[in-house]
Amino acid sequence: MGVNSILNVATTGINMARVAIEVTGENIANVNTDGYSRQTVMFKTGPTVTSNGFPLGTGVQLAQVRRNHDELLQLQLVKGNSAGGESSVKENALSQVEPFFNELTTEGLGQSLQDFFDSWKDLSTNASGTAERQVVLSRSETLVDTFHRLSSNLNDSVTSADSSLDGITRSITDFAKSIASLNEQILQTERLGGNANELRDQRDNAVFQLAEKVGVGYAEQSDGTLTVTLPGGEVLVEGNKYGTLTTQDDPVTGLNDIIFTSTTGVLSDVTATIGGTDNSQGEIGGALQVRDEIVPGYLAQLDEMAKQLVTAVNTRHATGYGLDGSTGTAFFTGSSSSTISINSSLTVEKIAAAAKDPTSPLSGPGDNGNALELAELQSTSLTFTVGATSTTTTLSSYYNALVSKVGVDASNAETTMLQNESFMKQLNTLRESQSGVSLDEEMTNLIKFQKAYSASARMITTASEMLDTILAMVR
Amino acid sequence: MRVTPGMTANNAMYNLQKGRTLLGRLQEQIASGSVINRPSDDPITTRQLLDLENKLEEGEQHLSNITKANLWLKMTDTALDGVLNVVNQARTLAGTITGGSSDSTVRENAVSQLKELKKQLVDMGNTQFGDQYLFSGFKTDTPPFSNTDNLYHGSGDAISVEIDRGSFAAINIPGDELLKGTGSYGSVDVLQTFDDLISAIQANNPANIRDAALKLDNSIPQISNSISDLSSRLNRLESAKAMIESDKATIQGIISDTQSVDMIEAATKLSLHQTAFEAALSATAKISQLSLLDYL
Repeated sequence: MGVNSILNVATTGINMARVAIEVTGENIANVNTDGYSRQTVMFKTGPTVTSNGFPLGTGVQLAQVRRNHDELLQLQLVKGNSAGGESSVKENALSQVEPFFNELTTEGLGQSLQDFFDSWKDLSTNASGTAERQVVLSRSETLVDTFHRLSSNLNDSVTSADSSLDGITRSITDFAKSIASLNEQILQTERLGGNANELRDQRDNAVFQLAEKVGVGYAEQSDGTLTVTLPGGEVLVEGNKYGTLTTQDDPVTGLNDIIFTSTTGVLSDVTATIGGTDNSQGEIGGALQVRDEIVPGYLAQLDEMAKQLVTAVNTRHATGYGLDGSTGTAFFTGSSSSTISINSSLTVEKIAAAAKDPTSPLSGPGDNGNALELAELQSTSLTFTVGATSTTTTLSSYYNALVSKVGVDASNAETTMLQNESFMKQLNTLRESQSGVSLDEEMTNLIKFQKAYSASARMITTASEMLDTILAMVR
Repeated sequence: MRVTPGMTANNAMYNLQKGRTLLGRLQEQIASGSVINRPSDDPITTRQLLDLENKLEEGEQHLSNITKANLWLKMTDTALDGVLNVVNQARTLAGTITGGSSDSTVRENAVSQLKELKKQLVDMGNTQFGDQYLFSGFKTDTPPFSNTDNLYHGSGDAISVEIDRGSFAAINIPGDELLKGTGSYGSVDVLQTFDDLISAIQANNPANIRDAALKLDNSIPQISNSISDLSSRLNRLESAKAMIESDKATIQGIISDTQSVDMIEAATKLSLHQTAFEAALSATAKISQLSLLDYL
């Protein structure tokens, strides 16, 4: 051992202190970077050599720049984000649908229905009155319009959920592409023994964001690449290859089908599986639920309501007589919320308020028998059948139940979303605790490493002075 | 647990957001005056509220029906009073001449008075409400009686109006029951009796005059019966109205109990949450500024 070895030890010290400051600098620089994991520099002592019969160290070596990261937590974050994506899409859609049914503050279908029957009651108090007959017509017009408006609003919700699939599939493909390219970079970097900490952070973050769109599964391979699978088991990313998702118009339903092109170029329709079990995962699952189950469910009930109204009113109306003696006239035409309309040949005269022919010698225009029966339909129980469920109740009550159902759905969606938010917040807190950068900590480290740097530098000065001393002896 | 500024920031943001949401909700409740502003606020109560509001509306409609029925019945009542008055006058007149009279001027005088009274009777029977004949049954566009014959030209139907759910009241009295004695009020054909009386007086036939006068006597209870029938219907309307109004008050009470904001409670909550929110804001502001950098 000579003065040179002192210089060597000091050099390793100064180098490693520099590396440590560099890592600290990286941490500080990325304090606000999404998905960044704090890095910690780990040192080890250099190999010992025996000098004068004693083992002596040869300075410090870099063991590892460690990424503070928890795989299990990452997995939970990814799963949580899938559930979060689904619930926020649902909440968003339902909060837009709910106002259509908000009878509490606006006058919607419930009010129109009430007004419709009230107009029949008014007519029953003055069966021959032209004004009362006119009111029946205009109230019916409003009722029909309200049905149409609700129906088209709900159909708009279906369309908007459907067209959102476009953007979702596109961003899934984008994320798949960037995960595949990160796989490649990580493979190359680590093959050369390099440090791919930042690339892994980026890849984890990409998977995390991808999970918000679709409920993916993933597994790291022995070569460091990540294989990502879709809920139906299709391989989305493998090594540096990725599959793509696109939408395609279904000629039957007119809505989008989701088409998966595998890494080998094979096309398959994954509409049924892409949302996970019960479409419970990711924004794509939420959008499919809104499009295929929730809103069509409301529409089906509304259609059934329109159909029963048309049938009940028409059956009763046809048995009555108009002022002109006409009978058998249909009041409404159509059989769903979008097709219901007032029989175009119905005039004020033909409204069948009378139970007997008013033009016959035995009766007259004051006959209000049928108007009373029609008004009674308001409190008559009808049977509504949607799918396999039959309900027997009045029209108003059926509609009120629908309003309440929309309310329950909206309230559940909001609660689920809030729960997911709070769950994600806790996971994020845990992640921050593990991987987040603390500036105070980094500042402390900076001082620590700076002092180490100064001390190593002092060692070099000292060694240099020692060399000077020796050289002076020679001179 | 390691605590980083990122955690503090996330927590602060989450909690401030929650505080704001809560304040927003309270503000909405106070401003709108109702606890339930959309179905999702309380779906079950929403359903109840809507059902109650339907009931309320139905009650309003029944009240409006009752008002119209009332008008119709009161008009009928006035006409009936007139009819009774005319018949009473005729009977008094008949009473003065039951034994007949040898004085032809007395007889002619009585006859012309009776003819006038019969015209009045027919006019009363043809009373209109708006353009509708009250005593015509369903044939509201046809005058039920005429001066040229003693026939009834209306129909015998009762016009019913719903005054409460499933409960109906007839608002008219068919003219044949009143003046032709075809119904349950009595069996005197009042119009024919007038004619009989007139011809008996003209013929100065005391037996026939007494006969007709007796019939007139019997027609008084017939008309009184119809008047009391009418009053009992009016009473029924009154009590239906009272019941609907009391129901209405009860339902409104329930609606306001379930839907209205307890202002005192809401204001207290608002001020509590406001204090909490301000404290959170100030704590966040203080904590966020702490950094080792300031001390180096």
